[in-house]
Amino acid sequence: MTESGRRYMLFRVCGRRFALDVNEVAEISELLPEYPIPNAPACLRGVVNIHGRVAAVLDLPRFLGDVPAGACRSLVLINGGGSALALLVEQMERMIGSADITAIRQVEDNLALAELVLADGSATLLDIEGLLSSLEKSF
Amino acid sequence: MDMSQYFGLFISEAREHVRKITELTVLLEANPADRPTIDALFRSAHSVKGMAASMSFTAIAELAHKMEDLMARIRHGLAVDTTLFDLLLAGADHLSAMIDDLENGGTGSGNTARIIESISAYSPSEPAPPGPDVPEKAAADAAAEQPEEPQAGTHHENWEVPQTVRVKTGVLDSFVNTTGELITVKHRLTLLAANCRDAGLADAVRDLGRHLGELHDQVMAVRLMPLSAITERLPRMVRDLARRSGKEVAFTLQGGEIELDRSILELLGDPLAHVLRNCIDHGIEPAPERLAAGKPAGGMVSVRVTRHKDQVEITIADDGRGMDPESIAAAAVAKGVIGKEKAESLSVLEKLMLVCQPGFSTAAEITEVSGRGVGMDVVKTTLQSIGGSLSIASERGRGSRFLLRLPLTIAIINVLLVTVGRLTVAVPLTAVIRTLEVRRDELASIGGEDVVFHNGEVIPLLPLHELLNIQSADEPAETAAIFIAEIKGRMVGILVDRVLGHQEVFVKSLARPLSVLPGLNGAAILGDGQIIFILDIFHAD
Repeated sequence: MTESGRRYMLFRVCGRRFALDVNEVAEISELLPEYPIPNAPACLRGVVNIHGRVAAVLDLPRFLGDVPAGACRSLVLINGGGSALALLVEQMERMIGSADITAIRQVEDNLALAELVLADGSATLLDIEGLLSSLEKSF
Repeated sequence: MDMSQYFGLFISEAREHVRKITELTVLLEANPADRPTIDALFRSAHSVKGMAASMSFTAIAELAHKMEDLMARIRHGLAVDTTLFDLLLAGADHLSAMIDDLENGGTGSGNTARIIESISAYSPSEPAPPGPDVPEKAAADAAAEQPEEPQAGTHHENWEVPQTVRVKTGVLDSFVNTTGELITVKHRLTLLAANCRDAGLADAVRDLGRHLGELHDQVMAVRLMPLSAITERLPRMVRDLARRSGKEVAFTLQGGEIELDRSILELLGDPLAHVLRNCIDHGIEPAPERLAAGKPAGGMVSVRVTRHKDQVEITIADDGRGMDPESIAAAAVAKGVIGKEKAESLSVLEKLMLVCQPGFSTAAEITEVSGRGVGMDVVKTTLQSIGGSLSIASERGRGSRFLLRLPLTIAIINVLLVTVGRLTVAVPLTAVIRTLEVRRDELASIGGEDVVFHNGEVIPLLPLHELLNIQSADEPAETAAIFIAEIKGRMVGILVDRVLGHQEVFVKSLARPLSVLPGLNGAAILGDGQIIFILDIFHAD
């Protein structure tokens, strides 16, 4: 999971820092006009049109039970696997490699693959499949 | 089995293979040791043999078989000399003539005794120019064959361009996408023309719309394929499954000629196979059990396909032991799929549909199809992802029915646009029987249920905002906007805030997680950029 050669993207939302394997990221875009989704949980704020694809926008903190995301500036579109999901991001941080990871903590959480310990704090490495399944179960 | 629909396909494919044999033979002559060419020649002959045999064109099959045998011997080390090339070319010419004959209404037979004998007698001298004996005689015989054949001499000078083209499906997909985008742009133009109030422009846009409609129909027609493309392997599959489980199962298929968009067909194969396997493995009882229950020893599994406007329904039914909603609910609770209280509150249909919950299928029940596990949950989500649906009906002791509903095409449909609160949603026009506008005081309440009187009928009302769990407009208007649909066999009036009108939209299929959200059958992007959802009102509750 964190072999050498893997790179991760760090981003912040609601004061929490998350990491995503770079291969899971299709695109980072600015905020787009959102349209409401009938019958959807509140954490799915709406849908956006990204190059003709209809992607659902997820307020990750809200889904995790925290306060809803504040002023967001970007959307991270998740790559493939039959999904069209975009995460709200307050701030994109840097890209890191496995050399930047000082330790990996296992977590009991089906949304996270691990907790990455870095020089300046930690980041929750998101499990996209776990995230999608959790979302779908909540419908 | 009626093979006539495959005739045209056989002709073009067989011709293509024979052309390839000729081409490969010439290549091989230039490079006699080239292994891939030898293999390719074998495969082409093999293909022609197989196709011709399945169509019962025995003369063609026999000759192709001899050529295949010859190539097999070459593959296994038999030496190559120039008589081989003559034989292969002569064989290809014969095949070509026979195919021509077939196409012109003949029987596809030919005077092949000599060429077959020559091919069988092929016995190379040293792998070099031919020796004087048998090989040369064989070549001479083969050459002498030709003038005796009607039309045999003509194909060398046949420069006719084929009347069909083979197109990669990716290219067809981009045709559909481009057509869809054009239609969306047309909608934008319509809006702009309305603002310009230019009659000439409005006319031009209308003409554009008409032509685009024709283009769309043509593009979609190209993508249609009969369901039999994937169902023709089912009888064999059923037979094998039945034998493996030691049961007797008869299989019937109706409606295989119904055509669907090929991308839907592609997705259907695995789900169909899995449901059928379920019926045979779990539904149909072994003969002794059936006899004890007063049923015939052999079970029956059927696939019936029907078309309703822009939907196709595939019903897979068995006359087996049926499913018990209570034991399914209990199993689901035991597996942790659902809580006990929730289970108790479910309807019969909902309990049966529990088998589609992820986590319900045990490893033993997941079909291995090409190395991928396909359980009932995948069947359901696959259907939903293409804007279709699954429902299950069952009766203990009598059997089960699985109803798969699919859109006929996935691209462009006519919808009714309605608003509920701040939400604009679309309903496929084929689901709408009528739209009504009535005054609020014309609505009534009977037994606590809101109803509307229409055409002498009492129609129960269902507010769409309740169905969709959203807020209605603050002030109910003086008039109520209703559209009438038939849901689960009942006429229902769906109450909305406003009916905006109807238009055609290009359907965008939904990906995860939205593809799993109940009640949605895709999305569409309107001319003004707004993304709206297409409702599946049959399953929104």
